[in-house]
Amino acid sequence: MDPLIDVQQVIMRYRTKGGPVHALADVTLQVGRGEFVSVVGPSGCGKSTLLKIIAGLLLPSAGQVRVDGVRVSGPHPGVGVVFQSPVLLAWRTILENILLQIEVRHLSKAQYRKRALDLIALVGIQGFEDKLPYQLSGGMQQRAAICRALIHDPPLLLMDEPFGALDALTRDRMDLELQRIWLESGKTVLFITHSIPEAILLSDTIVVMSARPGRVQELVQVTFPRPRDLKSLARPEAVEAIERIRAIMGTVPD
Amino acid sequence: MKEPADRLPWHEQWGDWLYPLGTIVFLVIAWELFVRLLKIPSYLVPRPYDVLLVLVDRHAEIFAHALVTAQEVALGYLLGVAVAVPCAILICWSRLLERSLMPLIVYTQTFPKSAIAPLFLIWFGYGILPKVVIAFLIGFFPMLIAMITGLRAVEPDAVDMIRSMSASKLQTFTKVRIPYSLPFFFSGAKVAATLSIVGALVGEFIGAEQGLGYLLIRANASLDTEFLFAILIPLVVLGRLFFSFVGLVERYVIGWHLAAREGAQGS
Repeated sequence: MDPLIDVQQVIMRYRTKGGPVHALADVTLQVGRGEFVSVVGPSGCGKSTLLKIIAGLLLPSAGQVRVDGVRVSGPHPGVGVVFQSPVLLAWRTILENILLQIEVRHLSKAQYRKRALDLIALVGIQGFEDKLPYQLSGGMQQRAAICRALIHDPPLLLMDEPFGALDALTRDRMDLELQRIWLESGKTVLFITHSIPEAILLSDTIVVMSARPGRVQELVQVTFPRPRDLKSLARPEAVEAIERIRAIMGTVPD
Repeated sequence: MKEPADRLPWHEQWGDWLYPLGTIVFLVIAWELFVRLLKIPSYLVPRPYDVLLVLVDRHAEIFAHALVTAQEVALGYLLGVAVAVPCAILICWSRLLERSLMPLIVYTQTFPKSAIAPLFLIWFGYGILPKVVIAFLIGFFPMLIAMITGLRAVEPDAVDMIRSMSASKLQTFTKVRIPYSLPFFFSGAKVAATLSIVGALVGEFIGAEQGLGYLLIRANASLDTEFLFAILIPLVVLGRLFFSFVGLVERYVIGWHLAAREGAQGS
């Protein structure tokens, strides 16, 4: 079957006042339908840039990206993006924040209201739909942001270090919740993180990127069964995968 | 029923009012004593009680002139809002406008706007119009700068967020950037509220037949110090009312922001 995301020889260079930045060097990558793929790599390796290119928020200097067979030339309907911070609009209630996606895409809000409430229940923040964002904790705000990314039922969910700003306990819980949501929704997920254990917990495939200019160094398959939990990380194959990715990234002190 | 312990003691409940009020009462008494004991002539510093008498005695005259000044300030200020907001949006809309206008606007910040007030008198005569224009000009820049700062201060992720929804440029402005800029705008709008009163007064100082500034100049010419002091009181009231009015509008328009800020402080 053809992949949902097809990244072909993408190169990204910026010109800045400090001189040219070579963010991505020739990235080629496929993500299959329904797959959960994480991208890990050192800070500044261009993983967020790659995500923005796939979302159509940035245009690559060279190469091309297809999502669902269609060449990406700008933001497109088949995608929902979750950012590192929830970026909920402070003047809108949680429900209105989720329906922003519908409003901006000129879809019928009345029609998607029910779905919004279902998603709110799915991520476990029912009862908060009429609250303003500041009344929710960081973890709950990020759950609302996930609802906003899923409300128009896109086949692809792009997540840019979505739990990076949360405390460790909340983060663990959100990882498990995300796995459950992913198993229930059947979406394709591209997940940027710099936590190797998080990537192993969640992914089918882990893309390990090199330092800038970023390129794909290796693909690591994670095959052990789902649903996984935090104990799964103690399995020998998980430990081995962590070691291997660390070795590839060169972060293991000898 | 509330537990008595939950209630603040009366002097804490009204503390925000009582303590400054106490300061004012103290200062007035000190002033009265100071003038009496040192026998300072009233054309230099009048006694507070005499100022009050003049204020009561000539209240109709003062009120009529205060209305004129209030009108100049209100018109100039509203004109400032009406021009500053669209200008800020336009400047941030187009990269070309931003790059060509922004440095000049920042530069005009350091220019004393009241210096061109005499020119406006030549252009617009002695009526209310030149005062409105000066009040406008003095209030306009802080609002423009504040709004532009707000439009630029939007979180990059918030713009990416709405762009990822295939938003048009208009949508990114109406749904994200403009609401984001409003708290900034209002801080500028409050500064402008006090500044536009200065603007109107400066206009009246230079040449007028009406207004509190005109009264001040007249009182000054006749060394009527009691009257001079009496006119300061409606000016304080006018400034306070105007500032509070802008605060009320702020509370109505960006209540969400204030609630979130207080919520963050409370937790």
